Amino acid sequence: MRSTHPPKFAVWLLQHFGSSTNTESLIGDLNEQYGGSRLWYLRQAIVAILVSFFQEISAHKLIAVRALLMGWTVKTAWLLFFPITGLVGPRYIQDRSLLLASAAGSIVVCAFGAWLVSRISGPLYRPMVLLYIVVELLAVPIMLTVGWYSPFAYPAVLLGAPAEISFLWVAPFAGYCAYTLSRFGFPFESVTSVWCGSILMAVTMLLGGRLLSSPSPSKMPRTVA
Amino acid sequence: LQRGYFFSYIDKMRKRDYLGSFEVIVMLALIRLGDGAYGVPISLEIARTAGRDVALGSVYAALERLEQKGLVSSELGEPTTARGGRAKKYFHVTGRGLREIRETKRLFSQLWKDSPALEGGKA
Repeated sequence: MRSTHPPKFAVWLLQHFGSSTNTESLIGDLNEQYGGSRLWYLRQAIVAILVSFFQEISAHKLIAVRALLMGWTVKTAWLLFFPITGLVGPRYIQDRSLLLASAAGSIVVCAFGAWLVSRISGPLYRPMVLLYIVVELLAVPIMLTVGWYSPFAYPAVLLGAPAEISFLWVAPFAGYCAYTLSRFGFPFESVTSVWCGSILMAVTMLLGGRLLSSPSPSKMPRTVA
Repeated sequence: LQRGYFFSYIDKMRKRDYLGSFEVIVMLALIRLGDGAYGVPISLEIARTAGRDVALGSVYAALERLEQKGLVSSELGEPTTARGGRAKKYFHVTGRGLREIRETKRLFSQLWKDSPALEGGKA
């Protein structure tokens, strides 16, 4: 399908996930070269996002390690918090207010972790938050395939989610999804909950990490209305 | 030294300063184009002379690396409506960049000359 207007989705992707300081000039160049093929534009946008992401991570490895350690510290503190506070067991599942508080807490702390990663990374917050999300997402299939013995008893809300991912951010989100799906008798709730949990986690992190907010005008090259 | 910038300084100290093959290609395209070189003509020049299509994102990534090394400088032009209101970013090779590219050529020529296997056009 050919159009005279550049595809808005590709432009949005570049503006929100592009790690380069030249993103606005790049969009201008793509607009100039745009011949009507949305696929060409989208491919250029994806390549630009990937190249700028890997370039920034490769050029700032220590900052990337620090960002990951910060995110993991917040996550570990929260996920270990449940077993030691005694908020586990059947009571947790039956008590809706506790379940709601737990779900809200997980969302807030997950977003806070991503926000902290973005704050300590300064102008490099986009690639660092993306790295944090990618690592957490990639860890799920790896853990499910390779397996991992978790020494900590995971909260009862994780029932239905595989134990291997109990120390990942996806775990609480998958747990709430599994709980909801099982109540409605939805089949394959374990698999579906891991997928839904991954999406929920990624969106929470994107919001917390400020990647879905509009790019700061002060950091963008001059534009005309 | 502020604690918050400690990792940034360590990262800067570790940066490599030699040119990669794509960086050499981009710098040569910049030199050939002279004034008025920005993303589109640079990528077209590479496609025309090197015979390979390059994504604009890759060109900008190389230009960013070269700018960080001080081999290339840039300035913003006027925004135009044809570009959706975005300004062009013009790139120039600096004096240090010219010295670096001459040194790269000298090094390659020397290595080429001293490699008998490369003489005669046989693979």
